[in-house]
Amino acid sequence: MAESSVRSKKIYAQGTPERPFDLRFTLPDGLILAGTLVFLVGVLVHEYGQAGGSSYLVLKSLHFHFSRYGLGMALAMLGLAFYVGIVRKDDVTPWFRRGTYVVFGSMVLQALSGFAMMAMGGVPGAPEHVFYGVGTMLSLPFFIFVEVTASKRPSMGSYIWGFFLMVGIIVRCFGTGPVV
Amino acid sequence: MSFPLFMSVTATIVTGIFTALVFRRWRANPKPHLLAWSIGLTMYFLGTLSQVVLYFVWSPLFFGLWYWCGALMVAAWLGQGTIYLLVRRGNISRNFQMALILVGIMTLPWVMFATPMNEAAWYPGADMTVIFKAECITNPDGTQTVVREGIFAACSSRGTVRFFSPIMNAWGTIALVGGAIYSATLFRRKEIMRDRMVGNLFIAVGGILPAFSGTLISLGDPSYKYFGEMAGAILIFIGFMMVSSAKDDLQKSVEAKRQARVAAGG
Repeated sequence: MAESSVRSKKIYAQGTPERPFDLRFTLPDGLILAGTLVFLVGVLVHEYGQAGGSSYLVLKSLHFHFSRYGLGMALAMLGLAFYVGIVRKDDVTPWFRRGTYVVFGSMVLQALSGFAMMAMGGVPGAPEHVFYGVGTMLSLPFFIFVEVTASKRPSMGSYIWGFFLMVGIIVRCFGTGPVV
Repeated sequence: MSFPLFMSVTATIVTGIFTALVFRRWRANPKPHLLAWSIGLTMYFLGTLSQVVLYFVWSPLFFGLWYWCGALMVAAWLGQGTIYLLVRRGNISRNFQMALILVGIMTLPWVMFATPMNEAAWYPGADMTVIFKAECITNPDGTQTVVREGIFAACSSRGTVRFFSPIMNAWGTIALVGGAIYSATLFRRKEIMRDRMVGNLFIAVGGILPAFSGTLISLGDPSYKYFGEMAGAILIFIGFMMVSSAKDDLQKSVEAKRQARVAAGG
């Protein structure tokens, strides 16, 4: 037990304390960011070709695919948070925190595409879809705030909360988004 | 003045004074549980005030506030204060707080701007607990027929903001009432601070009354809502005053017990 505890500290060593909002990248969060950008560009290129120049249709496809991407990322991060925080009883690592910022950024993009569609005259299937969408976007920042200001450590529980709520709200978004 | 109006006005006055006292206490001693209770009591006050206003005039704003405060937020915020007081481990209390804020941010504009309200269902002096939702019967083929129109036109709460009401109320009531009963039990077991024990029991009963009357509304009997609201506010207020005034007794109790142990040992 002591040996695995020492091993976990080596793998997830915090090292020199980092400021939460420092602009830097390491391999894991770099991969998350790169993956997100590749997905975004891929969807845009593919859908632009299919949409015949209609920016509304491109946005609609982007919104659709990004919602599935967001759900996948939220589930993956939730699982990772559970593993690091509950199983290994370790604290939040800087790369996990930066990965959370990437997921939050993708949800901001998702919300912006939704608002752009509404500005172009689009209407969601149910009016509460807008509020669920806002909830999806805001679910992470509140818990990021709790974690970066937490004096009691470890504090991975905040991200378990945040990603759990995000998954639930995204699922509700699926049910209220499409026009029947 | 009708009895429902009298109870609404009384509840408004009591919660207004209570809110001011707790808020003043928070200003003097800025603890998170006092802030959460201040917010919860402010919503209790706004809810009962909206009820008084709606007795005389129709207002979508006040109806939205009445529902959002009363059915969604009050119990949860009062319970949050108790969670801050009793749950000290890790960041659990703060995480609960953030979830509560998130639900509040989502549901407030939902109630105010995206929930259709049927103004025709209102009339002066109406019992809001009766007319707030439509009365429906289920047909043999599973469809529903509206028997009496309500301000919320939908027969079912599924897919509407009303879906959150039982969740928020259950969470808040369990936290507030459960926390008060737990505290009272602790004081009873340690045989200290009798006033605090009794005060917590008042808070527990005061928290149960509005929850119980709210549950009866869900089951189709709104008779006790106004009474539960008024009595709940008064009892929680009394309990809070008893608990607050017992603060200095702790040291005396502990010292008395220490002296009794010394005397028994000597």
